[in-house]
Amino acid sequence: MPVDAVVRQVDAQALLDRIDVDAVLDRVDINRVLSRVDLDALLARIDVNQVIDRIDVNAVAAQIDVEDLVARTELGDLLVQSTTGLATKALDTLRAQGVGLDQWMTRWVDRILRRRPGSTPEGPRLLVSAQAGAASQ
Amino acid sequence: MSPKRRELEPSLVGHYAGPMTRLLAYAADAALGTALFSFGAGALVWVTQLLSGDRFDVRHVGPWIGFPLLVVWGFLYFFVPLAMSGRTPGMALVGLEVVRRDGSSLDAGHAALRVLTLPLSFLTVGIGLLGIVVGREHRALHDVLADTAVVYGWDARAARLRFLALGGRN
Repeated sequence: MPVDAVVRQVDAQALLDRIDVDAVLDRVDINRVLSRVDLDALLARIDVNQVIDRIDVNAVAAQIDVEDLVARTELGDLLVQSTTGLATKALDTLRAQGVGLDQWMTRWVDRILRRRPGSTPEGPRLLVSAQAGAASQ
Repeated sequence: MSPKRRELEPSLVGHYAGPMTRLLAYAADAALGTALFSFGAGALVWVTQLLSGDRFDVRHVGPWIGFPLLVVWGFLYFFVPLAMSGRTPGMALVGLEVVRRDGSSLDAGHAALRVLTLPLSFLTVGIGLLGIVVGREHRALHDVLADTAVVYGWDARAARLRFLALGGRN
């Protein structure tokens, strides 16, 4: 066909070189184009698992400056608070258990020695009287 | 038979400490003191070898050197913290404090006397420790000789508040 012969004569590359692509893009209403795109249908065609498989997570993680992240966020405070909280709780529990055992043993000794409840001093005079004074205020 | 569950009582600060917490504190001190002595002895041998260049066998050190070193270390381990704060590391862990019998703060002289007389409680085949269990003031022989008493020194009120803040219930 003559048209085919004409097309064959056209230097497509030279033609493209003469086109100002930026000017063409400036005339395109991207929002209008996007509004015509069915994103749900597009996303449904994407195999997310395959995309994830192609990501080198270790390489991404290696690029994260964890120390800087901790310094910039409240993560550091949270870590310190949780660690301190755990240690304090463990210490309180240990001490409370010890006091509980003390009281249990003292009760039995008092019972065996037939001591009347409240007949033994609770603590040294200065400490117990100071505490009683503070409690009465 | 198990002891009843005990609520943390703010009023316990300054009360006489019982046998179990004192045993716990002593066990912690014995473990820590021995570990530190072993570590120190190892470090001493290493430095000696480094400086002299000779191979130094610790087994050649007789008991006439090792035992006095252990005694001196034991004295320092108990005396220095007691004189400074009224509590050894083990006592600090369990929440105990040594005070004078009337409740006033422990001074260096009575701290030294308490540490020096501590072995007497053990040398009497444990009889010197019986007072901790059956005595009205829970005082051992070395407490009587040094005019001291052991009390709870931890802030149970703060512990109670922390317990509640962490979601604990009555």
